[in-house]
Amino acid sequence: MARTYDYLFKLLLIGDSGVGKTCVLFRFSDDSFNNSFISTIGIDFKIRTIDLDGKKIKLQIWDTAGQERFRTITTAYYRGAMGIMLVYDITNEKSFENIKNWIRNIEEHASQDVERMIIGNKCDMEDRRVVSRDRGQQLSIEYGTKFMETSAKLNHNIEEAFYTLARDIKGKMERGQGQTVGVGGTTGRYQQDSTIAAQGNNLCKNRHTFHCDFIAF
Amino acid sequence: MITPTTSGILREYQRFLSCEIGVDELITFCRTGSFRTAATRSIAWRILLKCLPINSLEWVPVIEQSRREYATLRSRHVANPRDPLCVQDPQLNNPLSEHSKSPWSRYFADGELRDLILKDVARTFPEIELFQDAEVKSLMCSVLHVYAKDNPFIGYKQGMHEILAPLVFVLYNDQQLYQHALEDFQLRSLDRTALHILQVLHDSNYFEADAYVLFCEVMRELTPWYEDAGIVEPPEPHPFERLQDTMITSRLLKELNEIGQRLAEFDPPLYRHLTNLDIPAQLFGIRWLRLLFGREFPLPDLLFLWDIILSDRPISRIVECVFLAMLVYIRENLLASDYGGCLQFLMRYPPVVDVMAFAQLALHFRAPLRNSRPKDSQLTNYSNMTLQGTVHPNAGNQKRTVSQPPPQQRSQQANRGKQRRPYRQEEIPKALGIFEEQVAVLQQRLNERDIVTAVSAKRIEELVKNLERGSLEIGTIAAQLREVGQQLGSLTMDRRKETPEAKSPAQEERIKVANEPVRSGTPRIFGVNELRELNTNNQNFSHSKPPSQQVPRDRVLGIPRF
Ligand SMILES: Nc1nc2c(ncn2[C@@H]2O[C@H](COP(=O)(O)OP(=O)(O)OP(=O)(O)O)[C@@H](O)[C@H]2O)c(=O)[nH]1
Ligand SMILES: [Mg+2]
Repeated sequence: MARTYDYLFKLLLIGDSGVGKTCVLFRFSDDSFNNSFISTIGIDFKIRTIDLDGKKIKLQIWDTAGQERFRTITTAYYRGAMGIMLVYDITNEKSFENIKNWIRNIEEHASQDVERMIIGNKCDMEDRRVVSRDRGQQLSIEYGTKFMETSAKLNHNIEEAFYTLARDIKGKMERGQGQTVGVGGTTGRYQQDSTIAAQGNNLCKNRHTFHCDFIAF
Repeated sequence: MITPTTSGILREYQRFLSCEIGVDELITFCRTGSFRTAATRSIAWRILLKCLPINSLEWVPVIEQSRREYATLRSRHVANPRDPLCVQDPQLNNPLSEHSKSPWSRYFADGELRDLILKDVARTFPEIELFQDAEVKSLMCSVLHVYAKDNPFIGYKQGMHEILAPLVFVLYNDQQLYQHALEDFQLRSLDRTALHILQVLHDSNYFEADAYVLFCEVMRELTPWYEDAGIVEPPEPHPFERLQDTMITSRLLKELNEIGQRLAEFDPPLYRHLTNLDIPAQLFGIRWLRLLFGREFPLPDLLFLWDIILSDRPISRIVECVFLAMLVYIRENLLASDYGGCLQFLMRYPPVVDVMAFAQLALHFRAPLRNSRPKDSQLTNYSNMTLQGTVHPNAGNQKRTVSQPPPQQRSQQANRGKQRRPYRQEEIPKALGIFEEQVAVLQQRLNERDIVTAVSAKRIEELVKNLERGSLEIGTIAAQLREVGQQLGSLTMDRRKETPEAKSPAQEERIKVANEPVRSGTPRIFGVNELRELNTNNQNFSHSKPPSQQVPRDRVLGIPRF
């Protein structure tokens, strides 16, 4: 059986209800958009495998309900996440202000060196914009994260956002800084996947391969 | 829209009006699917939910009372300054008034709640026309708003809109059917009292009030699953803590945990599989429970499931059984899938082909002695294939079932159909029947393969572990590996190999056999033209003896599991 991927990254999408998390994810995983999406209840999940600098990276992307903040699933959901996209809606001031709360939430529950990225979505609606690009940029500098404006509707910057996040995680891993990723506790074997991949030495790499072949066939 | 036969509707009304039906009969009707094509489902639900008494003579006063109560609540909670029900004192009712009793100050304060509700109402059943209607949207917003304000401890939670939606649909449907029957003079034989009762019941002026009353009753059952969780963090975070280990304080997570335990009793291999993959019910079940399966079934099937659920209050037991039935229904797919594959199945539940048989399975779990388990052949799951070509929104563009692309061979045999003339009208039902069977056969083969591969992979993994630990003799391991090899080989070989020689062919032989297209052990897959010929040449061919039954089901199930 052929090896299906070199790395497995768990990513999360968070942000207020209605900012377009599901649309962003759907654009990325299925390359389509329609105006009539249904709201997310509980958790949703999609997979897409991408090629990045000759490596196959399986992205396991989790999407939650905006209203789910501080509720039912919270903490366990964050654990083991290696990358988090914080999404706000450029036409909605409140969703932008809430980014700070979401970041506080991450700091409480996610592992320390999780890669973060701030996304200002719906940038196709220039006429209804209330959050300027500058303010988004400023916030991301404050928190030391990357920043991008996207439009799920026009497929603007969606691929770029996910690839950038994935590349940052991969880079961190390969530099060997990612050893603590997931140590905050995570769901079973993904914990193993990520830490093994993170260590990056040969022996572990082989074990990782083995792991993929026989368990994640 | 669901349309009952002409005489049927009158008969239906009469049955309720003359009090022929007791609660027990009502429950039986629900379970046997009698309301699937009825015009009286809303009446049945109102009775089951105790919004109406069983005696029809008491309906009018009861319903009028509940409508008055709603009007009061609404004027108290919905501060729409433009609503005629609102205070009309110009001192109070103007946007600049800062008086706390001004409807405007309340209106602004409720803004956030209104936005939240509107966001969800705008995203309700996008594929159903009724919910695109502005009036229906505004009705739903009001109902949810009043409910949230009147139940401040729970408020509005995402998902409630999709509990309300089916209720609105059913009420609307029955109103329309009543109106149609009336205009069509189908109700002429009813006396004035009866007509008056029906008229009051279906009065569309009170659509909103009636929806609210039904909604409150359903929510009475569901509130535990909408409550906020107070998750208690364990004193020291455990490095390997998993979702299911989180200290559970919400009743939703508790319920899901219990369902997991019941799965362990009902289907230990499936429970073990999901547990090994670290997929607890908490992961995918939140939506199933909160929406009462609303996204996992197309609306007509959902309404039938709700018939069953609502006729068995308190509903948590039957809901548990539906939940289990859903897992068992796709167990073969789950067992053959990896982590990603399982999550795809669970989060985008494949279409259920025969919802009656499915319901039978749920009822069987509810009361095994009273309700027999449906035959496996009735439950044949076509997985992601749908014959109508329509896909539930939740199924999305989902084609991948295992999170790995399927092997090449899968598509080869399917493309054998040649050009053919279109079917004649009368041929269609028969051809469809045959096609359905063929799909079932194909699906079964795929399932079988998936299972064999899954089991083999696991077995190899076990053996490797043994090898590493040195806990088994090399000879034993070799023998077992050979067995695994044979099992894998059997996927591509003639499966009717009774002779022992055929069981251990040389490698080259195996490849040779594998390349032979004919597989006499399983039913043939017909080409489209062959199908037509079959249709015309053999009038006796009927799909009541489906070819799929020739695939011994136990051969699929009989594969050893670990
Ligand atoms: N114009 C525009 N509209 C968008 C865009 N992305 C999403 N939307 C709209 O925003 C609405 C909400 O999008 P969702 O993706 O459902 O929002 P969400 O963040 O997943 O919301 P929850 O599931 O409630 O947390 C939808 O009706 C979309 O049509 C975008 O890039 N441009
Ligand atoms: Mg969403």
